[in-house]
Amino acid sequence: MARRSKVGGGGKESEADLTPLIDVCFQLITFFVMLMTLAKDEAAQKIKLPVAASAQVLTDDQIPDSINVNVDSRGHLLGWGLDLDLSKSDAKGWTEFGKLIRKEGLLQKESQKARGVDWKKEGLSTTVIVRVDREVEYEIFRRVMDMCRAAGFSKFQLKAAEEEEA
Amino acid sequence: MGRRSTRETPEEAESKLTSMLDLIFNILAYFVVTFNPPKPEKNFDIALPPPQIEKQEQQTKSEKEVSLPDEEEEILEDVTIALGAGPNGSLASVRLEGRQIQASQLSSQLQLTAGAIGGATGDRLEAATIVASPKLKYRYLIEVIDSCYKAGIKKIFFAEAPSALSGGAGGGADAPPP
Repeated sequence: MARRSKVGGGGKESEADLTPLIDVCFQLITFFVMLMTLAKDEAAQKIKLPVAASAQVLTDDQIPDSINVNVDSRGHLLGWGLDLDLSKSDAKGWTEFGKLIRKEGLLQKESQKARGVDWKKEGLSTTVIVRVDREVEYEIFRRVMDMCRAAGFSKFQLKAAEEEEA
Repeated sequence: MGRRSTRETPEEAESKLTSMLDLIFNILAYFVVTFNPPKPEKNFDIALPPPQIEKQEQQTKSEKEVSLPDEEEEILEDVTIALGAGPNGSLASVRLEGRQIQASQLSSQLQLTAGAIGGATGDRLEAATIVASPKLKYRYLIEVIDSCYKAGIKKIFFAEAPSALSGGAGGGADAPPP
């Protein structure tokens, strides 16, 4: 990769070979740009998680087959490229969410059936990762959980933060 | 970004490289300064049976209770934790099996209850059912789940609040569930 720039024909090298330095700099920039893109995706959801001391931190190999359910502080469900309003008990968003989660449940049941696993006995192996903002009301959370259960999901992970976010 | 094929003096080439290097360092400095690594998240694992399986389990359990009343077997005991919400969704009251307690004492009270159940019947206290006022904020619910985890209870059910409480959508304080 690195090229040597020689000045003149007498074998006298230039003062400093900057090419490897530039290579490293570009790699660092790529690293930061990629990390920023990921962080932006999380921040876009604007979900401030509640703090919990006894919750566990998962290592990479423990992260299971999962689907995400995110509810922000306004009571809006974010995910599947949608923004559904769940803040009112009769909101249209609930109907949409019901349809979506049932569809997702059916897909998971079919996939489990294809693998020869009886979901009726063992439940669905997919975990629902629930990220709910700390300001969301209990009623919204409970209905989300009930709808997921009605769709056949039985494994849940409730996300919490390690320390209070600003 | 194409490079000139014409011959350049070493000074010209060096000056072009210097400006590019300046730019790269500026970009790098920007990213280093604005870099905010994502914080690790924690989680509570909760396994709940789907409604149809839960119904079957309840049927089987009641059938067993009818047919084998004296059989000694380890039955999963559970407790009910009722949470009342204050005017702004804060945690106003905690009732453990109908008994009013302080929120900070929940974990120790759960451990005491587990000990009492274990000592009396040999059963394990492994499940809790949380009944909360609809307006209660999620952060307080997580605090209660946290207390349950500390007491070794990892099977947690979320029940619907009594209808009298569910109707109170006026934003006022909810009375604690009975």
